[in-house]
Amino acid sequence: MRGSLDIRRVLAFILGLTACGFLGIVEPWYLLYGAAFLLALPISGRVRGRWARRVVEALPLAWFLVLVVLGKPLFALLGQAMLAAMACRFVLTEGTHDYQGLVLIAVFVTVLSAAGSISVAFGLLLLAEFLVATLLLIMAQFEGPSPGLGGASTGQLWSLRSSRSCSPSACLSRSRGGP
Amino acid sequence: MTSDMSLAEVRFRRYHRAERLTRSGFLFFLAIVGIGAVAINSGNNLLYLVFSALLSALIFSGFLSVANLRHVDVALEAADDVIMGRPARLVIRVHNAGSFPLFFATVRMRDGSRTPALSVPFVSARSTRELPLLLTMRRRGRVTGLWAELSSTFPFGIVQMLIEVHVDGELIVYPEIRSVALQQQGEHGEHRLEKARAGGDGDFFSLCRYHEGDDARRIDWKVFARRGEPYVTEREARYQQETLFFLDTARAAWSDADAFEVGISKVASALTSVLETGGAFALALPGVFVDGRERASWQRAMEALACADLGEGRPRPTPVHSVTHDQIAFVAGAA
Repeated sequence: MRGSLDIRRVLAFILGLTACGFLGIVEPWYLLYGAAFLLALPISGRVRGRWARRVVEALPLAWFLVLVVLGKPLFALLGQAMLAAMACRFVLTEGTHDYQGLVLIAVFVTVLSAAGSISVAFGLLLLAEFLVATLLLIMAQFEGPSPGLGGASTGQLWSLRSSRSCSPSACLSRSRGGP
Repeated sequence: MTSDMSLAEVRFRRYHRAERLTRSGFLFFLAIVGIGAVAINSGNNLLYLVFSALLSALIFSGFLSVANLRHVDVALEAADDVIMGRPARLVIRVHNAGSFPLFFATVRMRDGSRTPALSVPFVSARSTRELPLLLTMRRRGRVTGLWAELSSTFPFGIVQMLIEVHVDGELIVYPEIRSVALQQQGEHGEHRLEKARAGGDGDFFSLCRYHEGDDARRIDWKVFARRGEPYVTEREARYQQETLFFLDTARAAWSDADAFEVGISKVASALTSVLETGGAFALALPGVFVDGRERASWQRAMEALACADLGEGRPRPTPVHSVTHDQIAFVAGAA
């Protein structure tokens, strides 16, 4: 899937932007974390090698410790750590569980935002988040790569999945040999 | 459906559902409980909103899970001969009779063995999806009344819904086939029965009365003139060499049930060996006689062997020129 974007990755990317939006309601400069998702989009799911993955996995913790050392307040500490965790999880996303993990972090970000805002934008973002999360959770259950946005539609996605297993008629014709 | 199962039990098993939280579902559940606790504790309206939205999603997910697996039937069919101990190609048909599509289902046969789960990503409403399955059966005979486990984590992958469905169709599992050697016997070193048969285009074989439907060209007009009624000429078929296998199913003829199973396997293996060499064969069991040289006859013979059971009564005398299990030996080391 190197030449095109996976539908699930796009949905995960939008979910990440929504999470940034939630915290952006409280502190607008948190919207800058959207750039991290933008940078993560081309390399999402393509980080290979044990050490490379471990480094990416360790980044949120390192960022959290940096913020602790800088003496940031609790809201900023949790919010930024969660956005960093979400961005790194997005980079390392491979299977169904990773997407579910992303949705879970997004829910926590929403809860955090709910503690610090009373904006109407919260409701709009909540609607957007639920829509994207619902689609993502459904699409995430497809195992293996799904067709990209570049050349395939959802209809083709179904047909791709249907044709993966061997046709029983073919099995039948192959088996008409000797005992 | 098995006759010894009560209607209530059938209904219970047909619609029995089990739900299980997946690992992600468990985390979501904990998150919902946590958010609910925080919302109640803080009195924050937005947290109540998030909490109620998550609960609604959970309930919605439950409704969809139930709708997803309703009206789904599973049938099993053999795509090839099913031979005991060998992986057999089967076809599982998943039929969705409902008006709601089936998503992300997994089918697993409940036959006591470790059958792999088959993934059924999508079956549209009122349609059928066929899936190939390799299954190794451990016992010969007629297999009916199987159950399958149908599960799905649709829609969000947080709750796994599971139902048991009765599998339609039956399988006939042929006896185990191994490499065998027939012990040499007889003047020519073969257990071959040579016999002449009518019905061919060879030499004169016999005369028989004309019956309606017989070919009028075969009427022997001289005999008709002499006897006053029509006779037709039968000509001899080509000589045919046939290996006749005999298996006695009387319990007294066998030391135990295991010995009977080995005997059946030997006869089945020898039959297959004869078929593979292109020879004609015949199988005689009490009440059953199958002969031929083509695959269909082999299948009939194997079905007879698959369904053979030990019965009461005295051992029967072995027919002349026949091969019994005693004269068949498994070849050591061969598959």
